[in-house]
Amino acid sequence: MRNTEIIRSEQTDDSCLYCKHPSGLDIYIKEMEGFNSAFALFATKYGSINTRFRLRGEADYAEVPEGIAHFLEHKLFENEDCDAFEQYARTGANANAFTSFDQTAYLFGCSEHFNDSLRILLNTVQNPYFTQETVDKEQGIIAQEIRMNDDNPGWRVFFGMLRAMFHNHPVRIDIAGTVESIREIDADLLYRCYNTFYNLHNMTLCIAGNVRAEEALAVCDELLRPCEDQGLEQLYAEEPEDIVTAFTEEHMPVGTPLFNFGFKLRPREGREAVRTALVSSMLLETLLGASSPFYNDALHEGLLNSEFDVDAPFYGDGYFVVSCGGETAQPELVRDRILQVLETAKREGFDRETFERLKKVRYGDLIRSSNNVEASANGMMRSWMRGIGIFDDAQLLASVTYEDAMQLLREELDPQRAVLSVIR
Amino acid sequence: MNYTTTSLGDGISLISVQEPKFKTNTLAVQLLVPIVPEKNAAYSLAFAMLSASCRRYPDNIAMTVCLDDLYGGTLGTSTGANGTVMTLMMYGSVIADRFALQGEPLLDGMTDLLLECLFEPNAENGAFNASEFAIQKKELLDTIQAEINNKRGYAMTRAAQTIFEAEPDAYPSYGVREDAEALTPENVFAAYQELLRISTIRIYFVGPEPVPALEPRLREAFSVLTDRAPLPLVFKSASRIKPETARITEPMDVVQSKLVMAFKYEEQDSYAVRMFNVMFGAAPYSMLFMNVREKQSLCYYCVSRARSLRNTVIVDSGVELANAERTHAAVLEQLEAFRRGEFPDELLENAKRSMADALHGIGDSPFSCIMEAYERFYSGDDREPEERIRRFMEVTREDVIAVAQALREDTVYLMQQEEGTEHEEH
Repeated sequence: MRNTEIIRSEQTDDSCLYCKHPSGLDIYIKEMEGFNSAFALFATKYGSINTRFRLRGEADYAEVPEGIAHFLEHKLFENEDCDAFEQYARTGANANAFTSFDQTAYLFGCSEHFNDSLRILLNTVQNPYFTQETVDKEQGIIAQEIRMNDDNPGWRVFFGMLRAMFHNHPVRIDIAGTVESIREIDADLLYRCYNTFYNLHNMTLCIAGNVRAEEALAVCDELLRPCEDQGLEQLYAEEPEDIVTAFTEEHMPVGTPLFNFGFKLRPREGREAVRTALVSSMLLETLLGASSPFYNDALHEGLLNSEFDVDAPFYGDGYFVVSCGGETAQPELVRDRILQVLETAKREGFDRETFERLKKVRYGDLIRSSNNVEASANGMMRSWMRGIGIFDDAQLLASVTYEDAMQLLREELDPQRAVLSVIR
Repeated sequence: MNYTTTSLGDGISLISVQEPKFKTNTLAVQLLVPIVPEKNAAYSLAFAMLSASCRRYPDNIAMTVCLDDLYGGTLGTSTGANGTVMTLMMYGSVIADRFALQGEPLLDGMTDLLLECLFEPNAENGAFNASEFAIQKKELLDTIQAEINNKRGYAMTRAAQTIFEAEPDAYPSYGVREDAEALTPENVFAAYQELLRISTIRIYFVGPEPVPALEPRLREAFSVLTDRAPLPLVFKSASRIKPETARITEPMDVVQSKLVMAFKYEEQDSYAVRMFNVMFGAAPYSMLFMNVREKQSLCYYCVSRARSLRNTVIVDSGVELANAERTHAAVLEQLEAFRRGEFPDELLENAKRSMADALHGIGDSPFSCIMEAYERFYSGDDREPEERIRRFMEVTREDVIAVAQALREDTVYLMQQEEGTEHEEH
């Protein structure tokens, strides 16, 4: 028996169906009236940081090479008969996949034959097929993907910051691993990781757009293979509160130097993490964002340009980072000014009106994303990943206060835990 | 998707789309002029000035506060090219009024703001405000200087200089350094006045319900343009085919080389060209993806795109230097296979399904609605999506072979990684 319920959001005039499928999978389906296309994501809580793990009953933790989650994503596009892209070609769907620090997602978008494409998605992800030959072949392709990222200054400056912040946590390692680490990957290791993380209890299916929930669920009933919860446990290396170094720099051909400047915060989980992310991003937006004196003075002086941005907080198991970044000829001066702005705000407070206005902006963002097929499916997956209700964002937003922001500012935006990363 | 077109004056039209599913209202004003390369920088900077500030909101702070009060309304400009026509667009978007928590009239607010940006810019005595101008000029110069940051994009930009040598689109639509450096608050303001006179103006509105007051409001606002003389636009213009393939190699301090190949052709059926492009290298089941990437493991990406207004197909890939020649040969080999008709029927059928799926999905975002209306305008092909799907379905194997046979290799550009940055193959 499937258990289903309808979840509603009055704020965004939205609803979606939730089903705890007997197979163990969490399924979310948002039917969107009037839309032509549909979008589906089949995702697992498995990304580049999940390198040490064991299952119930196993004595020791396994440790696997860096970049293996991403490698597995590439390989799951092949099964014994043919490539998944070739199968999707027969339905006309547009398919893809991505791996982040803590998740891997397989997805497709289409405007016709949704159920046929859903079958391909569920079959592909549930039927791995690797041989040493196909693994070897993939190494050349992924090596080129890694090299491409090595030439991307935006990517390099961000990882420079993470490496300067984290001593041991695997978030400091490139998602795709290194050309060296992926050489250690073989078919057996891939199967081991697959069998550990691609358990339906560790996964979700999120669908939005021009779909009929009942039909999609019927496909799920047919194809999802029930799983036992295996009692997955993960281990992360002990991570001190302090940073590795306050400054890091690399050189490569760039027009204007690039920088990321960020703070290492205390890690958090669930609703607290999502709420802190809201508080911290609104706080930094108020102090450093488009309407702040800091940003506008820097614009007029030519110190910054519109590439400057307050980044979305970056957080997950064992890490929480708030940062900003952009282009400047004088990154050290920008850092010093930011630290000054924060110190002044700690003593004197900051513009409450701007902070409240940003709530309106965030609310507008929620309405916009609820009006887009792809953003809706992605939003459901993100909420599931974070362990909050699918439409809890609006409530959390309403609960954020100026006092929360002051507390975070005073307690955690500590200059001793700030890192400046520069590419010039 | 149903849209209505209304004339608001000489070369000025309003294109309205009503889609009850949308929770936002979007307004966009598009100015179209023939590309004159030395004017690119002035035109694009003029448009950047317009959305950065206006008389009522004279700096970034005032403008940001206004947009925040519109619940994070977006206001922006973009510059681009279609064939040899320059497109300048200013767009504004707000959530629908029914979502405003205090009943604020958000669409009215955005309409006022957009029109004020266009007709009451931050300027006096024939010049844009000097300090705001300095910021936007630096932005433009920084954009030009930062081209090198994105190596794939930079390789394409450099290759385009040879592919479209001595043609209007050889250089980016936002201009080049020398032209940007010569800009002043006066000459950019003059360029804007010129744009208002010589451009074809298309205004797009996409929202959940009709707004009867909008048309008269826009008609009145645009009636101030009294000396209109829109220049004729020629979207379709074949790029000149070089008698011999041009080969350019540019060394750079990178760890991956970039290969760009351009092919040109004499006039072909545009549906067959687009179909060929999908089959050749634009889809993840295409010949380039399946052979150059998947079978030969030469690269992470090897993609083709068709610039059908310019009768040009461009392929680009990121490769090890040691494999650059092999990759070049592999792309030519796939093209030869096409010319000989050595591709499975299924590939053609798959490409048709992709096209049908993409066309059925049109109109799911306000931007998609605007692009659909614009594409019908510039392509001169006003067929409904269903009719276009039917045209794609009629493309035959022979049509695709004819396109492949018509392609001539025009340019090969290589951004070459410096020695010592290559890594061992395995």
